[in-house]
Amino acid sequence: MKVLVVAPPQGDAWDEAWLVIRRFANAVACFAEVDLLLPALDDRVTTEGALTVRRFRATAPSHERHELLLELVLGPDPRRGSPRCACANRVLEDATKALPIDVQHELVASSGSRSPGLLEHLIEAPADVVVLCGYDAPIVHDAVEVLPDDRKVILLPLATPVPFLDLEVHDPVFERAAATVLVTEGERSRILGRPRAAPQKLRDLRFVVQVHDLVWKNEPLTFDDVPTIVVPRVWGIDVRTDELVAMARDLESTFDGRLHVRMVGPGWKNVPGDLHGPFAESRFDVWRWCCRALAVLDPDPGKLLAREVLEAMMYGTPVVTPFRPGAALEHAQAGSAGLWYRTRGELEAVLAALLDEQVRTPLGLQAKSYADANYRDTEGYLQGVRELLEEVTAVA
Amino acid sequence: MGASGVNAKELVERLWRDVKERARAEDLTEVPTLPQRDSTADSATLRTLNMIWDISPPEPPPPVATMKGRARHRAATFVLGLVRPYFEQEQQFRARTVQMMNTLSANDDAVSDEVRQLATALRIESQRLSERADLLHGLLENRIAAVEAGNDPKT
Repeated sequence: MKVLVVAPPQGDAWDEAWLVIRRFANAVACFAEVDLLLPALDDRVTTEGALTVRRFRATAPSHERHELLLELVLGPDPRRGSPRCACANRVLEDATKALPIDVQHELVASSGSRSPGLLEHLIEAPADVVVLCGYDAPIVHDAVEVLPDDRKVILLPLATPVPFLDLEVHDPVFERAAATVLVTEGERSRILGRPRAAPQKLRDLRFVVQVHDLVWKNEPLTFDDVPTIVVPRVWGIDVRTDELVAMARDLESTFDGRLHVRMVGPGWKNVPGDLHGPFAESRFDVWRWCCRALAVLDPDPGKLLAREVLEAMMYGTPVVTPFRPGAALEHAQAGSAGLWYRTRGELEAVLAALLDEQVRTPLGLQAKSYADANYRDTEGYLQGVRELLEEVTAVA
Repeated sequence: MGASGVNAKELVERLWRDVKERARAEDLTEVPTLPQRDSTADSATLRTLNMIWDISPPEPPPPVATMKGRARHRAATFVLGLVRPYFEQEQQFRARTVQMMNTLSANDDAVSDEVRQLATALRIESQRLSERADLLHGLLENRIAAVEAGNDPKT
């Protein structure tokens, strides 16, 4: 069996969408020959494990044009919703739904790369199944337009909680797919919430997240015996980093030495020295920190998978996350695996509660139980992928 | 979840409720709780003033049969006759001053009582408005959820 996987340009190791694409493609490669087709800077073919990666020269995404367009039609900072209530977000959602279809097309077109060479290959290359990754990627929209009618299509929507999911311009992408593969229950709810949703096409394969149990013993961290909240994310030189640093300092001041906050992940050196420790760059480092943390704080809502949260949960570490849509909140609620907050006062109350071992320990156990049961079943995931391929190819 | 487990949803709801009640209590303390105070009208100083305000003008010594005594009596009567109006004016002034202080004390006590009643009423009204705002916000959120779910009974 030959499968072509069409995906947006390659992301880095901390890009969740790219992680889901790569892992799904590798799972498909257990049962089929897989070519991963990517827009890129140059035409190039490489072999990466079981995958043949074909890169095609593509146009550079016009980020400035896209941002300008968003600002013109939706106002400044359209992705920022109210941290407290749905009534404020409602205004943004209504404005989004009212966008004329031409503007919707322009929004999609300006959001990423396009590659005529990739589309040409997609039309000419033989394939039993085509997997389209990212419902809103311009390359996927282009692919839907040019794909021959007899090609079987699987959609990996990678749908995060954004108002743009409901746009009419995405309908052809969802309609073209014989099956839509979901990663989390939250993603299912979001896609079911779309107008003209097709529940019969949805396939919830979940996902497989892996951690290394040896980090418990390797270079142990003691945190100076002070309960520590670990914040794993990519740290840039930006306003968000400044906000989180200020929040960490405020929390440490409030708890007056009874609680520390430490930041880990790529770019950790962009955080002041007293808020991080050494060796906090690699995923292995992040696991070392998270497995010993009082809790992992994921301050950024709206994630597709919340991989760092799931990994920490597999070590028995509960999660703390804002009460805003996203995978981290879904895991915390579905697994009774952590606590969530809306305001700064609630965050302090939640952290204070976690200092009680009678709260923290059972939450950690529940977190581990939930993550292991739902996101660690490699065999189950592979079987789901195999059944999906059989089902799609069997469709007349 | 086992018997020893923690229900995260219930715990979060309780923590949020506690935070809200604390915040409400802090809001209420912004309407100052006025301390109890003693009545001005019942103060010991005012009681003393009411007892000592009355001064009687001095009287001349009783007449004595001797020549010297009669002369002294006449002189005293003459001098006291000159200063008596001043004593009487002073007595009248003190009487009115104490009378005014009694009136002011009564008014002061009345104003104090009214301020405390007003503070209590303000606290109750703040709480009522806060509860009302929470209720309306909750109704709005529920309505939005119903509309989004397509279950709005009014559409």
